[in-house]
Amino acid sequence: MVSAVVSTMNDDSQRNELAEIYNKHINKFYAIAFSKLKNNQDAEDAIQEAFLDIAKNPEILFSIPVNKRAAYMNVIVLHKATNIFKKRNKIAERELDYDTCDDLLSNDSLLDEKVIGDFNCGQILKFIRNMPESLLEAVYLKYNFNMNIADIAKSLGVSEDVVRKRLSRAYFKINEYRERMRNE
Amino acid sequence: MNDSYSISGLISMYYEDLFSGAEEVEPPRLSFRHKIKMKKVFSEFQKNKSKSASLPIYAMKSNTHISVRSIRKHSLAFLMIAFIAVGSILLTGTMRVYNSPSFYGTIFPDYTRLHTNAADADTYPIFIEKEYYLLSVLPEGYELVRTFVPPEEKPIVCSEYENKATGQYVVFDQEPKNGFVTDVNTEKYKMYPAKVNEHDAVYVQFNYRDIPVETLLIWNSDEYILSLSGTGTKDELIALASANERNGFIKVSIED
Repeated sequence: MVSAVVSTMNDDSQRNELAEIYNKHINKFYAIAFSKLKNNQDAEDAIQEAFLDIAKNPEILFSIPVNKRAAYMNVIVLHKATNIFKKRNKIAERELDYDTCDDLLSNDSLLDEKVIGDFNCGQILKFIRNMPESLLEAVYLKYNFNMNIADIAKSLGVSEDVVRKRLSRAYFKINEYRERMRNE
Repeated sequence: MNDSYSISGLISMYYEDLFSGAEEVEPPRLSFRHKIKMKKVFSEFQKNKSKSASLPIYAMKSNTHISVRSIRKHSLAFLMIAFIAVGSILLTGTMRVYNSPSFYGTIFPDYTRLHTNAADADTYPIFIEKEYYLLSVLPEGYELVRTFVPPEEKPIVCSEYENKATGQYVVFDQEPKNGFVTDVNTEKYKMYPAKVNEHDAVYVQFNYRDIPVETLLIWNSDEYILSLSGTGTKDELIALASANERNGFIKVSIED
């Protein structure tokens, strides 16, 4: 009886939204991390690191619509798993020295513009699959979750400048590809 | 292909395909160490969440929204709940709290949120500032496998020890007294008071069907709240903690 009362009084300030996401989707997170790392311990580490980052910055989770939070955690778990994979295999990713193209960054229409008719979506998907993960995740976080540069930087554990450069590189590559496709 | 897509839409599609392709299988039993760490992560989330002065709009949407109109209704509901709670306490004579000389906690249906009662807690820093501890006495065959030292502010330092031949392990945590809070799984297990030499302690002993007994032991040491969790009975972990208290911990300067 008392425990029922206690749980009734367990209001939203007592809710642990992060634990709820974890409990509901742990199988999925594990599958994502394990598919990248093929190792139980590393998969657990990737999940822990992803959730620890959010625990330190809960405002990021709350800035994302409720129905997209699990999808957001998917990306962060994959990101952490990729980092562990790179460390384990001693793969160093060099941030190419691209200047930040503010014109491109402000030109959101480039990515929102519909690709119609003469562009083959299959080809574009193939092109996307071949883009570096670091560029794709920055674009995905910006557009799918409507995140600002600062929150993307915190989510990926990099500086805001690095996020701007990655977005610029992504825009540049996509723009270059589209121009090439148009001219063919 | 007649459908039209935006590039950002196609990138979203790429991720959706990628994640749906991750086979959702029942994961192997997650390690005890992972469960303990996740408890700490959730505890830290809760602490930081409550520190957030103002949560953005989605937080408000996701949580209970109390409008001015509904204040009366909520007040009535609150009064009813309070009445039932007080009535229940009077009838049963039990409070859903845990209390021991150095610790107190609120008991929820599946866990207990534990704080320190230590009178001197406020006099200590809220982060580990100068040095962290490592165990100086280890069970035979155990070795240090990793230490987790947060890069900036240090609300906790964890070190993991393992007997690689047997797979048995123990995790040693050091946390500041000031602001100490942790969630302990007490859904099926009970927390008991104990002593580590002269220091007040609490422990929970977990019994799983096909793996050795595991225990969580938390004690109020001189300057920090320390804990051991891992393979072993409560007597074994208390003996390990006592031996380290007597022998002194290995102290590692944060600057190193």
